[in-house]
Amino acid sequence: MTGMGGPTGPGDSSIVAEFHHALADQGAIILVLLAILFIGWNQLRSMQYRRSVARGEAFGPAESELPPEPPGRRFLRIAFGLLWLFDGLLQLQSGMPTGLPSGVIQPAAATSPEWVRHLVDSALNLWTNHPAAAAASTVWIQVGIGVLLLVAPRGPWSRGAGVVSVVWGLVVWSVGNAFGGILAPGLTLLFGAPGAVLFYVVAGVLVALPDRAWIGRTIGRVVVGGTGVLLLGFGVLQAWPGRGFWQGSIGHGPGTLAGMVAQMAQTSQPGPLSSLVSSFASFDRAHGWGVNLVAVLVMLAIGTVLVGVGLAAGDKDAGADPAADGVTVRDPVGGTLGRLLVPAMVVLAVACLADWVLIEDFGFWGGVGTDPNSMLPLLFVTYGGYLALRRPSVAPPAAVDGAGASTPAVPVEVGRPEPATEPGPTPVGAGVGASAAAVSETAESGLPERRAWWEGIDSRRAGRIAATAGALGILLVGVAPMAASAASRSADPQIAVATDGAPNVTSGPAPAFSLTAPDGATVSLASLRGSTVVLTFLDPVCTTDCPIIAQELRVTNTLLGADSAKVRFVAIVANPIYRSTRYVVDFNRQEGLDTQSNWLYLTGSLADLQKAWNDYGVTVQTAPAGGMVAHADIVYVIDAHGSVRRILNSDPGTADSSTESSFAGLLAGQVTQVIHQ
Amino acid sequence: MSRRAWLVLGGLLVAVVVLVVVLVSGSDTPTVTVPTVSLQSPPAPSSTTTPALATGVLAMGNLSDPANTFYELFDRPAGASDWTLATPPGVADNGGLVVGPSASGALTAGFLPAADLTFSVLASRAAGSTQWTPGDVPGTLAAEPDALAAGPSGQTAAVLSGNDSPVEAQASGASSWHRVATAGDLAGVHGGCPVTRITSVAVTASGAPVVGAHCTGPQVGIFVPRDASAGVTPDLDAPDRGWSRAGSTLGAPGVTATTVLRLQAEGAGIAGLVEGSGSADSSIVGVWGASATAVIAQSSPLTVQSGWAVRATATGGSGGLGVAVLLGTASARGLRLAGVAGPGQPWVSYATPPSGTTAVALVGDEVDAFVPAGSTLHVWAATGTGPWRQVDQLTVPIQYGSSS
Repeated sequence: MTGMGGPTGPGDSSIVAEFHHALADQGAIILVLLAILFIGWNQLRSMQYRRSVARGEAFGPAESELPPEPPGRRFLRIAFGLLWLFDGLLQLQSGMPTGLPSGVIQPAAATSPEWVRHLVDSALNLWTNHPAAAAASTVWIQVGIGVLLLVAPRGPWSRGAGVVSVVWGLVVWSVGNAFGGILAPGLTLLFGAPGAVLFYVVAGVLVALPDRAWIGRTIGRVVVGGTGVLLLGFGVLQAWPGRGFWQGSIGHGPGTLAGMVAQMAQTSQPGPLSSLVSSFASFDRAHGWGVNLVAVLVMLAIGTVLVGVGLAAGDKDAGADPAADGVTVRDPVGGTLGRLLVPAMVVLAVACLADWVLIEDFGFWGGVGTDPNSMLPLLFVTYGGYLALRRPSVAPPAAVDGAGASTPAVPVEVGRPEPATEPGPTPVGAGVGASAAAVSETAESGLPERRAWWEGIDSRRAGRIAATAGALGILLVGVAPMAASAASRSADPQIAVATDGAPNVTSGPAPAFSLTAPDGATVSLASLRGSTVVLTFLDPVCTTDCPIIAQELRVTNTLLGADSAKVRFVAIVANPIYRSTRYVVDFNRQEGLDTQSNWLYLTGSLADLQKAWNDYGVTVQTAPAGGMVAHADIVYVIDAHGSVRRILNSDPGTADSSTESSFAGLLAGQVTQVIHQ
Repeated sequence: MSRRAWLVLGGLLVAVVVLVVVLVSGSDTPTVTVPTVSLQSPPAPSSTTTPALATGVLAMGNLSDPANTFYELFDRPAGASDWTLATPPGVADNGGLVVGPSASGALTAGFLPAADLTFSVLASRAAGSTQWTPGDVPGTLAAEPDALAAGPSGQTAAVLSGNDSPVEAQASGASSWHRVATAGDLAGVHGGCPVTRITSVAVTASGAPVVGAHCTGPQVGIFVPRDASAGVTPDLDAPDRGWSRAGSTLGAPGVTATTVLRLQAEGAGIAGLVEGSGSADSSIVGVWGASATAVIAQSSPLTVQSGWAVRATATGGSGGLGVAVLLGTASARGLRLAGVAGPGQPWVSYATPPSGTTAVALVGDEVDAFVPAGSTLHVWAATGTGPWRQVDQLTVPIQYGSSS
C-alpha cells in the first residue's frame, strides 16, 4: 500500500540526475507560464486602475455573483488540495524513479490475485521503462491537482478539479496501490485499508458534485453514515478470530499487528519516531489482546453512532445550537444520537491521529513514501461530511428578473449571514459577461463614452482564471511527458546509459576483416561499404548475454524503420572452440535471425577470428569447469565510409525488459545519427 | 451549470480517461523476447565404468542457484588412483551434462540447454586424449544420464527431448545424423509395451543401438534392433520398425510402470537399472543381457520405500556387470547405497555413505562416494561393505557468476 515507506531503491545516480534534470526543465516551463499569467493579470489591473484614476472613479473588484461555497465542500477541497500538494512534493524524493516499483508498487501487489498483479504490471512497465519521466510527471500531476483544488473554489473548473482528482486517484489506487490491498490477506483499517487514495477519490467525487447536490443534508448523511458502515465492517473484520490480531505473539514471532508495526519501525526515519513506533510494537506484542479490544470497540462504537446519525438525520433541524460567533448552527439529529455525534467525532479524530502516528508511522518515511497513508484522508472525508450535516446549504427562493425569467437557484448556507458584498465600489460595466466595449455616460458631459473591452473584465475573476490556468498548466506539464512515455516505442535510453555508460562518440577507420557467412560466402568489411554497419561479437553457444544482445539488435532493426534498409547488422563469432557455421546456423535459428535479411553472423578460421578480436579490442577467454567463454560485450557503429562513429558497451546488466528495450532504443538513436550525419 | 460548462467537464473527463487508457495499455512497443525452451530438470548424478575409463558427472558450486550450479565431469583411467576434472570447455553447462563413454576409452559429452541457449552441443575426445573436439547433435538432448552413447568404432547415438523422444545416430566419421527410433515407433512394436518416452540408449560392441524406455505397464522397455548386423540403422520402414523388445516383465509385485534408468553396453551385451513403480513402494531391478538380442536377466527387486528416491546411479563395477543405486530422503539427510554385482547376485547394502554424498562410482571392487562442497570435491572410498575413508580432495576452478 502506498505510504508504507518501503526501502529506497538503488537510486542510480544517472537516472536520479535525469529525474532532477526533467524536474528543472519542467519547473522552468511552469515558472515562465506562471510569470506570463501573473504579468498579464497585473497588467490588466494596472490598466484598469489607471483608467479609473483618470476618470476619478473608485477602483475595486466587482461584487461576487457566486453564492458562498458550502463549508463541507470548502473543507474537502482545501484539505485534499493540500494533501495532493504534499503527495506531489513527496514524489520529489530521489528514490522515486528507481525505488517506487520495487519499494511500493510490487510489494502492494505481491499478495494480490493474479489479475491484479497483471494490471499492476502495466503501470510497472511504464515506470520502469521511463523512470525519470514517470517520476517527474507524477510530481507535476499531483501538484497540479492540488493547486487546482486550492485556487478554483467555484464553477466548472473547480468541479473539474474534483473529476481529475477522482480519475488520477483511481489510477493510483488501482494500478499503483493494487486496490489498497483489499483483495490481499491481512486486511485491516489500522494499517491503511482500503487504501488512502480511495478517500481522495471520495473527496474528489464530492467536490465534483453540482451545487444543487449540496442543498440539504443528503451528502452529510451519506458520508457520515458511509464512514460508519466502513468502521463497523472493519471493526468486525478486526475482531474476526484467526486473523492474528488478537495475539500479540504467534509462536516465537509477533502477532499480525505487532509484526506490521515492527516492520514500519524499521523504515528509515528520525530516531525518536522509530523508537516510539518500536515501543508500541513491543507494547502490542505484550498486550495484543487489549490493544485489539480497544481498536475493535472504538471502531464499532463510532461506527454505530455515525450510522445512526446517517440514518436519523433529516433535512429538518432538530434544534438550535448557538455557536460562539453568534451564528446559529442546527443540530441534524435530536436526542441521544445528536448528543453523541460531537464526542464521536472527537474520539474518531483522536483515534485516527493515534493510529497515524503509532501504527501507520506517518506513512511517508523511507525515501519512497507516496502519501501520509489513510488516517488523515479518512478523518478529512468524515469531517467534510460532518460539516455538510451541521451546516447544509438550502435552495433560495427563485428570483424573478425584470423580464419575468427566474434565475437559477443557488445554495445558501443555513446558519450563516448572507455574504457581504465585496468591499469597494463596483466599476461601471464590470461583471461577468460584460460586453467588450461597454457604453456609459460620464458625469461631466452626459455624453456616452466608449470604454475599452478590458475595462469590463472583473480583475478578481481574472485573477482566479489566471490561477486556474496556471494550475492546469502544471497538470499538463505532468501529463504530456507521461503520455509521451507511454507512446514511446522503447524504454528510456538513460537506463542503458546508467547500465553501460554513455556511447563513445569517435571517428577513425574501422579495422578490416574478411570472414565467412553461414552460406559459405566471404564477407569483408570493405564489401559492406555504403551501408552503416552495426558490429558486435557473439558466442553462438552462450547461455546468457549473447542471445539477449542478439534480440536487442533485432529490436533495434525494428526501431530503425525505413532506415534499416541502410544498415547491416554484423556479428563475429566469439568462441575459439564452438565456431563452425553449424553453431552459427543454430544460433540464428534460435534467435529468429535467420529470416532477417540485413543480419550477418560471420565466422572463420581461428587465426582470422583472433585477428578480428584483437583489432577490435575484444578479449576472448575460455573458462574451465563448465564456465562460459568470456568476451567483451561491445557494439561498434561503422558509417557507410568505413569509419567507426560510435562504440557502445552492450553488457545487458540486469537484462530485464527495461534495460533490453532501453539499449535497443539507445542504439537505434545512435545508428540514426550516424546514418544522417 | 451551463451547457458549455458541462461540455468542458465532459471533454476533460474524456481526455483524462483516454490518457489513463493510453498509460495503462502502453504503445505498440517492440519488445526484446529471448527465445526460451522449458528447461528440463538435470539428470541425476551418474557414473559409468568401462574397462578403460571411469567417469562421473555431478553438480557443484552453489547448488541453490541454478546460474551458479555447474555440472562437472571427472574421469579416472583404468589403473589410475585419482579422479581428475575433465569437464569439456567452451560451453556453460549449468543445464546439465551427459556423457557417453565407449569401451575403448573414447568419450563423448553433451551439454543440456541452459538459460537462453536452447540447443545442445557435443564434445568428443579420443581414448587417452585430453583434447576435446566440438560436435553437434540435431536437437536438444534428453535430460537422462544415458541420453548419449558412443560405440567402440566411433558411432554415436543420442536421445533427444521432445514429444516423441527421437533417437538419432551418427556413424563413425559422418557429419550427418539419422533417426533410428521414436517412442511412437517402439510403442508399435509387436509384443512391446506402451512406450511413452525413450530414456536411454547404448551402443553395443557390434555397433548396434539398444534403447531403454518408460512403459506404462509392468514390461521392461528395452528394445534391440531386429537385425543387429544393421549397425546403428534399424529399418524404420519394416512392419515392426526394425525393433523388438528384449525386456521381460519386471519381477516385482504391483508394478504398473517401468523406467529404464541406466543402460550401458557391457562387452557384447548390456547392463542397466530399471525402476518399477506402482501404487505403493517402488523397486529397483538390475538387468543384464549377455548379447544384444538375448533375453534380459533380472536381479531381485530392491524396494524403495515411500519418502525415498533415487539420487544417483552407477554402472560398470565388479568386472563390468555391477550396478549400484544411491537412495536418499527428500531432505537428503537419509542416504543408503546398495549394489548388485551381476546376474544371480543379491543386492548388497554398503555402509551408510558420508553425509553430503551426491554421486557414487564403481571402480573394480571399490565404491567411491563424491561429496561436493562449493568448489571442493571430497572423494571417499569403501571396499566391499567396509567403512568409508576419505581418499582424495579436489579443488575445482568454478567461475562463479560467469552464467549470471
